[in-house]
Amino acid sequence: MKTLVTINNINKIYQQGQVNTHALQAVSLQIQEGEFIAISGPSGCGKSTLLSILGLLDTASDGQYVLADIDTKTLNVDQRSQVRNKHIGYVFQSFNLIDSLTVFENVALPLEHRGASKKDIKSAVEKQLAAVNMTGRLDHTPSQLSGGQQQRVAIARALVGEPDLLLVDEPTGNLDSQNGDAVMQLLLELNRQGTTIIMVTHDERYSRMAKRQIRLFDGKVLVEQQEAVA
Amino acid sequence: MSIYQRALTHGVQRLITKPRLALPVLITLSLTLAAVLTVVAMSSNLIFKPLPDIKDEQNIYHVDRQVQVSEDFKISIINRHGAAEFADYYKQIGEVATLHARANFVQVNDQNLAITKLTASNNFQTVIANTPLLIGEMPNLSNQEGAVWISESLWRNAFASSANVVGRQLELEGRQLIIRGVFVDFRSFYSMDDIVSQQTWQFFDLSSHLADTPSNQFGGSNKLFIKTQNQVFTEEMLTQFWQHLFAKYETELASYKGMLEQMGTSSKVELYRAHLMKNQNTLIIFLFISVSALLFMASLNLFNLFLSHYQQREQELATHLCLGSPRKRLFIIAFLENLPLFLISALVGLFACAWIIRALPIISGGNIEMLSLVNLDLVTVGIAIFIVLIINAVFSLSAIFQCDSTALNQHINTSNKGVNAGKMSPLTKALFIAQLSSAALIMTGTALLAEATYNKVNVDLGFTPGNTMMVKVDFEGQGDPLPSEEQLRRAEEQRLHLEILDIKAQLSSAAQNVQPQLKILDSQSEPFGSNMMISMNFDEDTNEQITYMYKNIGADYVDAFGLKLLAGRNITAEEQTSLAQVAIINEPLALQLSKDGTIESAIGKQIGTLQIIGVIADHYSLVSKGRGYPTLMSPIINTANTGVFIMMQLPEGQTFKQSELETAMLSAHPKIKQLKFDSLASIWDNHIEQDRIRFYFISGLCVLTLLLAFVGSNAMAVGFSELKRFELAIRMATGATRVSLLKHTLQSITPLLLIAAGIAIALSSIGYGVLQQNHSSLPALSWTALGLFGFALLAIVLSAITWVVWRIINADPMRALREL
Repeated sequence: MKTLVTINNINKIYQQGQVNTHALQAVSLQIQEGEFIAISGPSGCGKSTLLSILGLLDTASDGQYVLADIDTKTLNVDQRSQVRNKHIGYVFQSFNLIDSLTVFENVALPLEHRGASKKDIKSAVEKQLAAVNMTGRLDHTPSQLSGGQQQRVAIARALVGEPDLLLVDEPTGNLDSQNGDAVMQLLLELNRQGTTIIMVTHDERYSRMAKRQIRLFDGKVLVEQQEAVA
Repeated sequence: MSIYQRALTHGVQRLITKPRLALPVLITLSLTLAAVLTVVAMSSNLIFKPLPDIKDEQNIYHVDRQVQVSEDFKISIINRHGAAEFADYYKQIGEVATLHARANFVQVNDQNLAITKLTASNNFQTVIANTPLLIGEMPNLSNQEGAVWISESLWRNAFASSANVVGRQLELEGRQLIIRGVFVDFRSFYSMDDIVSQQTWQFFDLSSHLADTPSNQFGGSNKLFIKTQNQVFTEEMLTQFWQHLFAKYETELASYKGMLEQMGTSSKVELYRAHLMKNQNTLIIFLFISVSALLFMASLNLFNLFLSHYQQREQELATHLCLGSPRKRLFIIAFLENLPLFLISALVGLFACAWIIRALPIISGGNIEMLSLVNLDLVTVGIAIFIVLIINAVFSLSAIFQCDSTALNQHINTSNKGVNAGKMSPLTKALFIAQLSSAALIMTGTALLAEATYNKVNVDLGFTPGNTMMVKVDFEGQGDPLPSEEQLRRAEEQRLHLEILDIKAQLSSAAQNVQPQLKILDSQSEPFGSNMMISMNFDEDTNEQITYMYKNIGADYVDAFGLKLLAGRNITAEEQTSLAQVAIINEPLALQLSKDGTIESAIGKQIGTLQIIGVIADHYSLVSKGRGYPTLMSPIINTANTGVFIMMQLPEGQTFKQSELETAMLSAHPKIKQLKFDSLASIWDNHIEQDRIRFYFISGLCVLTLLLAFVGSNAMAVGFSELKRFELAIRMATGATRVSLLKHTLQSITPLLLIAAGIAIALSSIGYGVLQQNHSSLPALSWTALGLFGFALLAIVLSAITWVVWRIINADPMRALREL
C-alpha cells in the first residue's frame, strides 16, 4: 500500500504571554492509503490539534508533514486551500454547515470551489447524498434537519470531492447512540470502499472499531495498536 | 445557481433580511455620497466643462481697473469712455465688448415682469455670447436706438412665443421700446443681482463713447471683455493702457489721477470663466475637503459595521476556506454580496444629489454663481459608481483577510471546548481610534470656524439700524450735469436742493398717509454707507491728501441711529435747511486731521468748503468691516453721485406696507420715475449672507460629524456586544442583572474609549495645527473649544454604546447559549 500521510517529529507549541503549552511533542506517524485510524486520549492531550494540523487548518511549530507526496510546509494560504479541496475531506464535530445554504448547496461547496461544471456538481452531490441516505432533503436548510441528518450532510460534503483523506472530529459527539452507531457504520462502509479515515474520538467503543488506534497523552503518542475491525 | 449568482442573490435578500446592516449603510453612505456628488457635480460643471453660451472662452479676458477704497472694498473705475479708449488702444490685439446686467422690471400688456436687464456693446452677441437669434434681426447701428431684444423665456412668458413679436413694444424704465428680436436665454454672465432667464437686451455703439468727456467718477459697472486671437492678455497690458489714458488726458484727469494714486489702484485680468467663478474655486475646494472628510469618516463607520458583520460570519468564511476556497474567491463572494447594497446607496445618493442640486440656489441664497449650469452629468454618475465600488472592494478585502488561517482553526474547530473570549481585533480598535480622531479633527475645525463665523454675523455695529426703510428715488432731471461756473453751480445746487426737498416732502406726506406712524428722516444716508461717495481733499495742516467717505445727512442722523457724539456739536435743523457749509466727522477722520492727537482739535477745521463742527464715534460700515474708515457727514446734497433717498422709520415690530407705500409715493409727484425699497435689516442680511450660510453649513457639518460619530460608535458597539454575547449570556445564566451586565460591558469598553479619545484629541490638535500653518485664514486653536467638543463627542459615543449594549442585553442574550 502507498503511504498517504507522513509526519515526522511534529511539535505544536501555543504561546500565551509567558506561558508555552506543548500541545504536541515529537509526534511521528505514517498512514497508508485505506487505513482507518482512531485517535483517542483524554481531554487536552492534543487530539484535535493533531487533526487540525493533518487537515491543514493549523500549522505545526516544527516538524514535517507530507500529504500525498506534497510537503505542506512550503505551501501558502491559497495553496493550502487547494490541497484541502483536492485531498482532504473534513467532518467537524459541530458540522459547520452554512445556515443560509440548502443541503444541496452545502454539499456542492467543495466542487464549486474547485470550479467543477454544474452538471458534474449535480451528479456528484446527488450521488453522495444518496450514499448517506439524504436524497429527500436536498432543498432543506441545516436548521430544518436533526443532528444526525446534519452529520450525514457534513459527511457527504466531506466526501463529495473524493478526497484521499477523510478527517473526522468526534463524529458521534453531538449525536445520540442510535445516530452515533449509524454514522460509525457509514464511516466503516466508506473505509471498506477504500477511503482513508482518521477519526478523533474519546469514545472507546467507537475507537475500537478502527483498524488502528492511537492514544495520545500530553501531546505524545502513548500507545499505537492495530486491531481487527469489530 | 453558481456560487457567485448565489452571493448576488443573497446580497439582494440581505437588503430586507438584515436591516441593521442595510439601513445604516444605506442612510450613511447615500447621504454622504449625495454631499460628495453635489460638490463633484459643481466642480465638473463649473470648473471643467465649457461654458454653454460663450464662444471660445479660452480667449476671452475680463479686464478691470480697480481703486482700493478700503481694506475690504475695491471698486471699478472703468466707464464707457474708458472702455471705448481701451477698445481703440488694443484694436490690433482683439475685439472689445462690454456688458452690464441688473435686475429690473418690464411692463407688457399691464403685466409687470421681473427681468435681468442686459446692456451691452452691439458686438457682444457676435464676439462673446453664443445665444443664437431665434427671430428678428441682429443689433446694428441703424436698429438699436429705442429698441430692445428679448430672451426666449420672456418671449414665451410675455408673448406666448408669438411669431409676430418683432415690432411690438414693451415698457422698460418708463420708456416704450420696440422689440427687434429674440435671443436664446443667456446664463453665463455675472450680475450683482439675481439672474433670471427673462431678459432684455439693449445695445449701444462703444466707439461712439470715444467722444465722451473723460470722467472722474468711480463705480463703473460695465464689465469689459477683450477677445484675443490666441494671445495671452496680461495685467501689465492693462496697466500700460491706463498709463496711456492718463497721458492722453493729462489735463482733464490730473486731479483724478492724483486721487487714484493716493488710494491705490490695481489691474485685474482674468479669463471669462474665472471672472464668473469669483472666489468659488476656493469655496468648491473647501466644500470638497469637507465632504471628503465626511465620506472618509462615514466609510470608517461603515467599515466597522462590516467588520462586525463579517466577524459574526467568520465560521461560515472559515468553512469555505476549509473546503478549499481561495481567499480571492471569498473576496469576490463578499464583493458580490455587498454590491446590491452599495449600488442602491449610490442610486439613492445620486437621487439625493439631484435634489440638492435643484435646491442649491435656495440653499446658497444666490451666493454661488452659475448654479443653473450645475446638473447631474455622466461624470458624476461615474464617480458615484467608482466610489461605491472602491469602498466595497476595500471593505470586502479587509473583511476576508480578517478571517485568516489562524482564525480558521479557532472558528471551525472549537469542538465544544467552550467559547473563546470575545476580543476586538486590532483593526477594529484602530478603526475606532481613526473614527474618533477624524471626528475630533472635523469637530475642532468646524467648531472653531463656526465660532469665528458666528462672531462675524453677530458683530457689534456701533449703531442701531432700527426698523428703517430706505427708498431710492429716481426722478426726471436727476443727474443732469451742474454748471462748471462756481456761482451758477451754487444756484443750481440750491434749486436742486429745494426741488429735492419738495419731492421728498410730497413723497413723505404720501407715505405718512398710508402709514401715519412713519417717521421720515431728514438724512439721506444711513450708517451702513450703502449710499455714499468717496471724496478726497488736501489738508494743509498735515500736508496730506485725505480720502474719506462722504454722506449726506440731516440733523436727525445722530439720534435716529443711536450714534455717539464724542466732541463738538450736531448739525442743527437750521443749518440743514439753509445748506450751511458745516460737517460732522467720525473719530478716525478726526484723528487724521488732528494736530495734537486729540479729536477735539479737529473741530473748527475746514475740509474743502465745509467746517467741522462735531465728531462722532466710529462704527461698522459696508466699506470697512474693520471700522476706522474716515467719514464726513454734511447736509450738502450731491445727488449726481449718491442719488436721492428717503429714510423712514417705524417703531420696532411694525411692518412697512411696501406695495401700498410704493403706489402712493409713485403718484405723489409727477417727476417720479422709479422707487426702490430696501430695509436696513435686508441690507445687513445681504451683507452677511455668505457668512451666515457658511455658519449654517459649518454648523451642519458639526452636527453631521456628531451623527456619524454616533452611527460609527453604534457599529463598533454592535460588534463588541456580539463578541461578548456568549459571555453576557453566561453571566446572565449565573444570575447577573441587566444593569450589572451593562455596567460590566461599559467597564470593559471604557479603557479603549479613553485611550481612543486621548489619541483622537492629540491627533486632532496636531492635525489642526498643521492645517492652520497651511491656511492662515483658519482661526487659532482653542483648547476650550477642543475640550468642550471632545467632551461632547465622548458623550455621544458613550451614549451610542450604552444604547446598543442595553438593546442587546434586552434582546434575549440567552439565545446565544441555546445556540451553542
